[in-house]
Amino acid sequence: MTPTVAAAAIEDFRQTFAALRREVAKVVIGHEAAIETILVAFFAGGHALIEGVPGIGKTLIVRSLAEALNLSFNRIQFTVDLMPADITGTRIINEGPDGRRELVFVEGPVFAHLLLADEINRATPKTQSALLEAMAEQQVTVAGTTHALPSPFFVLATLNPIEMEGTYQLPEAQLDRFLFKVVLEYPSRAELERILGDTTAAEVPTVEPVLPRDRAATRVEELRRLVRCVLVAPHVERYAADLVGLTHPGRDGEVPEAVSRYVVYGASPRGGQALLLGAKVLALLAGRAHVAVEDIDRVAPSALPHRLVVNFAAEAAAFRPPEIIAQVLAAGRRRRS
Amino acid sequence: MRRRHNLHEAQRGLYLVVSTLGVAVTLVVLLALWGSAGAFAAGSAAVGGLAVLSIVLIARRVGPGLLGAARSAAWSDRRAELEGRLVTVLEIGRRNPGRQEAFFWPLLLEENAQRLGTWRPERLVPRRLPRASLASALAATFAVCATLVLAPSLRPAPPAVEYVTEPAGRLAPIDVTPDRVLLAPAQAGSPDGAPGESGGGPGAGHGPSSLLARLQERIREQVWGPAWEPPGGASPSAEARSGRPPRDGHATTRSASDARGERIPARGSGSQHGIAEAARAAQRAKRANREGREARGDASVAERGKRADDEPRSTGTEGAASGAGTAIAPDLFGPPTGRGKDSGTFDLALAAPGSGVTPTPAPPEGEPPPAAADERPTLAAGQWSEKPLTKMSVPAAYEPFVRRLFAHREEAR
Repeated sequence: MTPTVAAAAIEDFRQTFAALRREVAKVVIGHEAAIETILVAFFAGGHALIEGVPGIGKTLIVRSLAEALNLSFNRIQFTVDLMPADITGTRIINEGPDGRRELVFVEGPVFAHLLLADEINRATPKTQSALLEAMAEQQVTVAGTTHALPSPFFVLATLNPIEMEGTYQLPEAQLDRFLFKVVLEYPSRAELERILGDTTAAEVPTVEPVLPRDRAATRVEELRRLVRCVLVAPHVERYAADLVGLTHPGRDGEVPEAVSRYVVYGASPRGGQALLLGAKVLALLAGRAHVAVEDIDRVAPSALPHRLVVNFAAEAAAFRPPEIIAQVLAAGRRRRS
Repeated sequence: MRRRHNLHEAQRGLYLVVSTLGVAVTLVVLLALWGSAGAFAAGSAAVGGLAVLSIVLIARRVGPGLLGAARSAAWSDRRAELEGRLVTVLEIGRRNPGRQEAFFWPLLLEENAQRLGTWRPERLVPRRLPRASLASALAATFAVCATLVLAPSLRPAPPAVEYVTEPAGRLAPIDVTPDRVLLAPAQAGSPDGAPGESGGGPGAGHGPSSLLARLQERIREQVWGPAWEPPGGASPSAEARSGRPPRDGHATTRSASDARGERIPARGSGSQHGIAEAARAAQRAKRANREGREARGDASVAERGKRADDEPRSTGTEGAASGAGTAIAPDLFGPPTGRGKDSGTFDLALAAPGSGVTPTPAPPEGEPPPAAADERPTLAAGQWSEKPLTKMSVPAAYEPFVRRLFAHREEAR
């Protein structure tokens, strides 16, 4: 492989990424950082959890992204009575033309490239867990038969933080399977004015597909493989491992005070994988063929906080995981220097 | 690059240490020359402490700046703003050569090659010499030299000598540079005839304060010359300069040599050399002779000392004629070998009785008692024969002393 080809591949990735962001930005006013984080998670091969108050544009972002990518898209509105089979699919008795009856597997909504799990915390833990295998292994097992999910497979789940009644906390195992957690904030005043003007006008902006329909999945897979090819130096891997290790309580004298006081369980190795994969995408976006420690620093606030299990003292002190990760990053930088 | 950077950092540290030491030495010398004993003790301790603290800080700052083999690539990368390109190539190539076939490896190599000019040693460490540190070191060195050069010319005027009739025991010693020295009669009943030796002068006592006082005195001697008299010390040269006739008596304070255990009588001297200078020369000669004698393992020293004890003392325990045979320092005048004038010594007859301030005790009258019988005659057979010492080589610096002490002898002749 010549340097020219590699440089062209990086440039192609950057252009595709920029085009997707541009198309999504046509209909989603503001939230540039959130959109970029979601796209980074998508190309890193992970899944994203979006948290935000109702009406802030969570579903719009996901739907716009699916349209821009030109991939198959399904949406599941999670409710209390939603069952796992409603997600994965089920076997039904089908009567053939010859009168014979047989069990046929009917694919559920999970069989799509992009899956929007809207208000995922409203479903019971049993139903939520139906997504575990799909998210981790990109397959579902129904009645002893394993069915592969289409590739690329990308889950975008939304979480409503204010309506806690009738909701179920996501199990840690499932939270850990989300590469990033994106918190959507209220739009600024200027953004709000633009939102009001654009969405109530006669002509509503539409998203144009960036990738051709027949080759979209293939192109996305190519770009994901390209991301995996980005070089990571040992010192960067060490730094990522250090950050993950600094979230583990019980190492007195090494971890930040906030971790010792407030964290019950720290980030898992998946957290480290999320750091490196996200950093690889950021490296490509910066036109680099290698990951720098600054990429890790940029990814960490999205990749680590939702993996921490904090104790009651943290909630009582209103000390949130992002603040703990900020201390972890500071400690990591001190150790690196 | 690493060698160049480390050399630069080491120079910076060295120059900063030199600057610190230069400033410290300058301050200590200034304090020693013009400060009182207390100010010198406090100031030199403070300056020394600050200097040590500064050197520790310099070491802590410079030490981490030195690059090891592992850190040099990362340092160069950061310094040249390569965004990790160089260190990534080096680390991946070192750890896993197989990954050099990776998709982006050729691109990374080419990017480093393109940026080769940005991480050349000449660019990363542009100067071989740390100019600011060097300038500070030179300034500090200049300050030291200027102090040492200018200090002798700023030597304070010697004190005037005045004579009083009041016994010196009532006069308190002083530890500042006096503008005059009182010469007074010895106080009656003083055990050694050295009134005013109450221990208040520099060099008295033991411990850190004594060491600092000696250091201060030493610095003054080095800077202002050996003729420098310590603050409050007797100044025979000043006495000579005063033009008054010397009288028997003692100075109210002690000289540096006095503090070392050697008494200098405050008698007038008609010689060209000051008594203090002669005493110091004698001290040096005594030290050299003692070292030479110890090297030869001369066993006759004790015997000569005993013999000298038996001789009549001329001036008591503090008499300058101790070299003529008192028990204080029987080897004061060096080995008992005849030396010519070329060696700077002259021969002094050991049997020559000296004269001193106090009357010489009369020799015992009558016949000496008969010698006791030799209880161990075998031991006598094992002794080696020794020629009797009749003369002793005396340093020339003592000539004025000796001539004065033995003047009655010459006059008798």
